[in-house]
Parts: sequence; C-alpha cells; structure tokens
Amino acid sequence: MKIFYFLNSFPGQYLVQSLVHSLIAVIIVDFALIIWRIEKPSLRQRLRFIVVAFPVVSFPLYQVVNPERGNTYFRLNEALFDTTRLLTIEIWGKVPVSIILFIIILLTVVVFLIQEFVPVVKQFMESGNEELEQSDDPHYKERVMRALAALPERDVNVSVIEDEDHLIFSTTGRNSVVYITTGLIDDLDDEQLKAALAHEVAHIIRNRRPLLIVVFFLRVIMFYNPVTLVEFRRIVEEEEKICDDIAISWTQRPDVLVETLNKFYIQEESLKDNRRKGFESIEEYSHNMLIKGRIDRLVMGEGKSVRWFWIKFLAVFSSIVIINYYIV
Amino acid sequence: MVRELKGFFYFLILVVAIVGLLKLMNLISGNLHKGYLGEFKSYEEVERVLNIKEIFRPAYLPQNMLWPPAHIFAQSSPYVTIISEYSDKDSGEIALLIIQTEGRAYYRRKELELVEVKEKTSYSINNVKGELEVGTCGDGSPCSRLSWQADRYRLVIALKAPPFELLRIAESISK
Repeated sequence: MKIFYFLNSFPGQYLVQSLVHSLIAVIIVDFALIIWRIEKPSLRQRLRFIVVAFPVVSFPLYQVVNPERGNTYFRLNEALFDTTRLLTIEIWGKVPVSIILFIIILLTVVVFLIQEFVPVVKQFMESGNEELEQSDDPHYKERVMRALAALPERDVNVSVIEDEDHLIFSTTGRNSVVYITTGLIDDLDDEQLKAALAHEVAHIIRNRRPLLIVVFFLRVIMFYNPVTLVEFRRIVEEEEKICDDIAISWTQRPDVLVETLNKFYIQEESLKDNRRKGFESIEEYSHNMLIKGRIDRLVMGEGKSVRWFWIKFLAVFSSIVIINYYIV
Repeated sequence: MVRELKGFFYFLILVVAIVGLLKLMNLISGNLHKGYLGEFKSYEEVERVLNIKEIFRPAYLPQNMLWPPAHIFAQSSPYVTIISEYSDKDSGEIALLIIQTEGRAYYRRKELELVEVKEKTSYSINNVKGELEVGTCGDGSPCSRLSWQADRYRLVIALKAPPFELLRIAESISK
C-alpha cells in the first residue's frame, strides 16, 4: 500500500514518468537514426540531447499544461499507458512489480556513484595536492609549437607532462589547457602530433559554448535513470567523433588521425593480462570499443548527407512529446 | 526525394507501432491486475465485479444534481476506493464528488478544489466528528468540503455550493 501511495505522489510520479519518458524517447531516437541513416555525429548528438534533456522537465511541464493529466479519469480513458497499473501488480500475490523497477534504479545509482560521482569528487579533492610533473625539455615544446602553428587556433596553452603513458586531454573553462605526455609525443610523428592536438583544440573550441556541461548537469539530475546513463555516454562518444571531424577539416588527413587513434588502442595481450582487474578491465574494453568505432567511421569515410534534418528533428521531438503526454 | 518520403513513412509506422504496443501493454497489465481501478456504470456493478459489500451512497441529492453519477471509479486492490462524480443538470459540469476509501483520498477534481479556505471547523455527522471546509473554487464560485472517518473508511464529500446542501447530503449517506 505504501508503494501505491508513493507512486501516486509527486516525487513518485516524477521518478517513474521521467524514466518511462526517456525510454520512449530513446526508442524513437534510435529508430529515427536508423530509418533516416543519420551518420553525422553533430546531428546524431542533437537528437540524443532530447533523450537526456526532455524527461527532466516532461512531467512538471505536462502537469502545468493540464493539471488533470494524472487524475483517475485521464488514467482510465485517455492514457495510452498507466504505469501505476503495471507497477502495482503483485507477483504471486506478494511481490509488487515495482520492486524490479526499484532494483534497476538502485543499480543505476550505484553505477553513477562508483563510476562518475566518486571519481569527480576525488579528482576535485586531489586537484590542489597533486602536481603534474612538467617537462622542461625544449625539444618537446618545439615539436608542440610546430604542430600548433599549422592549426587555425594557435592561441592554446599546452602543458607537456613527464610521463611514459600515452595521454592527451584538455580542461574546460576560461583558461583551457591541453595536457600531453612525453611518452605520447615520443611515439607520434609530426603529422600525428598535429592530428592529436587538433582534436583537443577542437574540444576546447566547442567547450566555449558549454552545451555539454549543461547536458552533464541534466544527467546528474537524472542520476537514477539508466537510460540517461547510457545516453549521456553516447553523447560523449558523438562529441569525440565531432572533434575528429573538426581535426580532419583542419589537417585534411583522416589517414593520419586513424594512425594516431591506433596508438591509443589497448592491445589484446594487454587486455588478457588485465582480466582480473574487474572495473578497470571493463573500462579498457569500452575504451577500445570507442576507439575502434572512431577508426571504423574514419576508414568508411563520410556518410550520406542528411536532407531536411530540422523537419526530421521536429518529427522526432513532437512524437516524443505527444506520446509521453499520454503515459502517466 | 522518394527515399526521404519513404523514411517519413517508416517513421510514421514506428510511431503507430509504439502507440499500439503501449495500448496493448496497458490492456494486459489491466487484465493481470485484478481489482485495479476501473470505471463502472452503477454501484451494483461495483458490488458484483469487485465484491465490495459496503458502499456508502447518499439518500439525498440537491435538485440540480443528476442521478445516476456521471462517473463511478472503483478499485479493490491495493485497497478499496470508490469515487462518485455527480454532474450539474444545467451546466453538465461535475459539481459533487463523494470519495470512500480505505487509504488516502488523493483523488482531485480541479472544478471542486478549494483554492481559498475561508472557514475550517469541526462538524458532527451522525455523531461522528468530521472536518468542514468552506471557501471558493478556482472559478470563484462557493465550494465546500467535508471529511470524516466511518469505520475503516475515510469519506470525503466536495460540493460546488455553500455548505448547507453538503451537510444534508452527508447526513443522508449510509451503507
């Protein structure tokens, strides 16, 4: 009976409906991408934004438009799907179906905490204490400057870190910095270094319009939502591909970017050694899958251009809004 | 051009398929959940289908109220609830609401919701203490609401009128 009360309360309805609304949204978006063969990452990303953003506001928005939406009459006569009807079914007359939903939510929260929240907090706590050892070797600086000189955006801070590992990443904010390790510079030729830096500079330019940060905050609000968890990762993957495209538009050398990406591919032998690492091993596999996806896309070449994208976007968005209105 | 139009056609099929699937799931879950909320034509049907023996009904209704109720919603699971909505003869709007529930009376009707409570007082209905609220509804017309406990049921009556008629309805209610 307590579950029934909760499911009929405002927080309960928000929780369940935001989850179901994002599920419907992801189904429609995924099929739309297949039907219209939308391959351009920037367009794919725009459609995926709907899945993360819309469920955050859908329930309160619908209630403002029609306060009677959740009432009994609506549930019985107008709704396409009444979630309470399904969630209060009792399996063998004892266990409500809603328990399954709560287990899924609990697992999602655990994944969110372990994989995203705790590492971010840890990084924030350690950011003041941990000093990266910067390289003073002029050879590295000279190579970096030479690579940057060929890019349209040269006014970028690059910090060379003394480390054997292959690492390159950039920070966001006003004073963005590209961090690159000496180990990676040693392993790349000049063209490959230019491609790697171009990709990071593309990230910095795109982060000046902090859309991805807004999406991240929406994702944090939906910390319990497994669909948002997956979809946010897909958006980040699309972001990588967008930056690949920008880098290629500057360097005109997709083949070089492919070679550069191959340097980040963790070899099978190394993965086998790491089998016992648990979470780390999963991370490495997903890292490899992302790199492989990016390489495959570049090797296949540019997909067909998409005509009437905004009409398609509107069709997807309006069908998500209308269908979800009738899910209570 | 033809390829694009084909795409829109396939997308339309997708939307129709999702709507159909949702309706089907709703139907199946309704059939699996015996006793879950449904709409009934009469109190007798509620008795027969849900096997609810105790149904509180009013013996008195104001003259402007239509009999039988415009809507009767009822459930026996997860707890017994019967919601009766009566409409006004002239306007056709829902003007009287009677809720009988073992749980919480969370059901709301916008037309009968008190947006301003002018007076809140105790009132005795057939020797049982209840709570009477008098005020105005969203459209500014006078509204009143009375709630009390009758055995294991919570009873709530909301009327789009001053409390005089509401109290007469409440006193006439019996199993």
